[in-house]
Amino acid sequence: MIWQNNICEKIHTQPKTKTCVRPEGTQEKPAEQNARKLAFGGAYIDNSQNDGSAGESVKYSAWLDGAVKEYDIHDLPNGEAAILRDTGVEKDIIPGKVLLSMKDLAMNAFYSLDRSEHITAEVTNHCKENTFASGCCFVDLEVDMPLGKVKINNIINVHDSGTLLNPKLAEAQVHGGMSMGIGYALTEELLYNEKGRPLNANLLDFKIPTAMDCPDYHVEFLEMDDPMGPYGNKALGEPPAIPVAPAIRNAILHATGVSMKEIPMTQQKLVAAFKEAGLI
Amino acid sequence: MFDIEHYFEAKSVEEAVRLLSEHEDAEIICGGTDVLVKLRDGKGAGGSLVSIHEIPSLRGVRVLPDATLEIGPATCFTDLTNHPLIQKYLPYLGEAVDTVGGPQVRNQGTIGGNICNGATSADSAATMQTLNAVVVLVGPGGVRRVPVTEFYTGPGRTVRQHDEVCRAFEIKPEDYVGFTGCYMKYGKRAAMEIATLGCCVRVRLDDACSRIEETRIGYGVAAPTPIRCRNTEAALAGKSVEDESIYELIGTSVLDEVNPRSSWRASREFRLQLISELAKRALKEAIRRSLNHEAPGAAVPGEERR
Repeated sequence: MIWQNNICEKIHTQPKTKTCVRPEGTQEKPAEQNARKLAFGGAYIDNSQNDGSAGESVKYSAWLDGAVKEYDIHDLPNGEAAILRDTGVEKDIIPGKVLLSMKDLAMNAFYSLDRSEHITAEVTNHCKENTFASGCCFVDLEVDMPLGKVKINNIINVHDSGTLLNPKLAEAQVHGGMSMGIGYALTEELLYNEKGRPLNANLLDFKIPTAMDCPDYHVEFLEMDDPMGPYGNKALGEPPAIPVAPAIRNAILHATGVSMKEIPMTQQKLVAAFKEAGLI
Repeated sequence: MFDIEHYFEAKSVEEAVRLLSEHEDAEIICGGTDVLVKLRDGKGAGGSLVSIHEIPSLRGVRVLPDATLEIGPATCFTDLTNHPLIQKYLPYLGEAVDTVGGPQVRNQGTIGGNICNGATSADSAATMQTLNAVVVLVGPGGVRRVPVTEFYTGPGRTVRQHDEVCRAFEIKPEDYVGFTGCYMKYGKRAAMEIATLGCCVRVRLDDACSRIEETRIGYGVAAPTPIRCRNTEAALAGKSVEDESIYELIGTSVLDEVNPRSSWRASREFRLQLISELAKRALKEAIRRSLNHEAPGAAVPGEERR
């Protein structure tokens, strides 16, 4: 979480317990104190726990949970970002008072003509003990052997990614992975000439499947809560792309008896393999 | 984005011919789906363009007095496939141009550009070969007619001179009346694709729909230019449509008449397999369509306006 802005210097956050913002054993200088205060001030400004409303910035505050609770804020007489002014005195502390919405503060900070700055926040979660995410793919396909064409009739991915935070987005993530998996299995390859120059460095010759090449994607989830993951969540970044190519390869084996040993299983490679197997 | 010296908008074919004669560095542009792609890659940079896009007489499909179909070269693929005359008399040509790129390219690219570009992979080329289409060229010396089967001189090269403009493609009644056909494009995916191979087979059956009277076989990418397989066509004449051996015959015989090359896009061996297999399937489908009484009669002059 990094935020330094003159506007916010005037907000004057004040740590209740200094140990939470200062590495132990170091002496705090006035300038540093200001900088750190700013870092937390923005988060506090729309701490909706105080006024009981649930605004759009609640999530943002929640990110900063903990840090937010440690701080009080000096009052601002007019309550607007544009006219924030430095009260500069400790006696005006009103714990928990909402000064202005995060949206207004962010707008002001971003569009300020002379002090424009972005408000940024970073949160990391180093999870060392969570469970592995797992998933699988089932595919039903047809092989046109004389032409080396593979037509996918039906495909489904099933994933355990713990408790889903956004099920619609999670499903879309799986769609993307399945599409990548189909290209990975059947068509996508970078070709080089003997000098190492790529031959197909364009979207005509590097064959990403088009909408017409893709079947409807079916996705199911098993939401097995992971108490060690953030919000019971497990990975879903790469898993959707992983099982598709092996499933297609095994379905081709099931359909034709030919076991392909490299990807992409292009039409030309399939025809060569079917010829070798005496199928065509 | 584009390095163009001059851009001329011709209002008539004659004006286009004159502009081309006056500017040796000028190239014809219509839909621009080939020309602009080349220009963006820096090929032909600094040259001039003569547009024939705004010449109304170059668009549409008409029936001439002798029932010849005249296709305007500036007709885009979308308009061509949706044209009632094409749907009625040359549906397999519509089928062929439907396989070009994607919808945006088909709204822009034209059949004239597809043929005059000289590419063996052009999706309309195999079908136009089987139609014995006549390319009508207008130059400073007047009009000349070249059969499309004699139009190509090599990869990307045609007999068209720099200052000649393609005014029309003519398809005579003997080349479409009574014929059904089927075009099969083979690519690595179902759209946005350059043909690995294109095959058009057309048949005309006898009145009883029992024997093949005439077959026409055209290929794209089976040789440096689009080609016909005339020996195989002759071998199929008179064969019964019930005779299952015709498929084996066409699949084997065409292999003696083609000359595909190996490239990183596909090997010669793979293309030979496709040449054989696609011919069988296209023949089967063309015969099926004939048996389904889809073969058209002769077009009537002026019927496109009714």
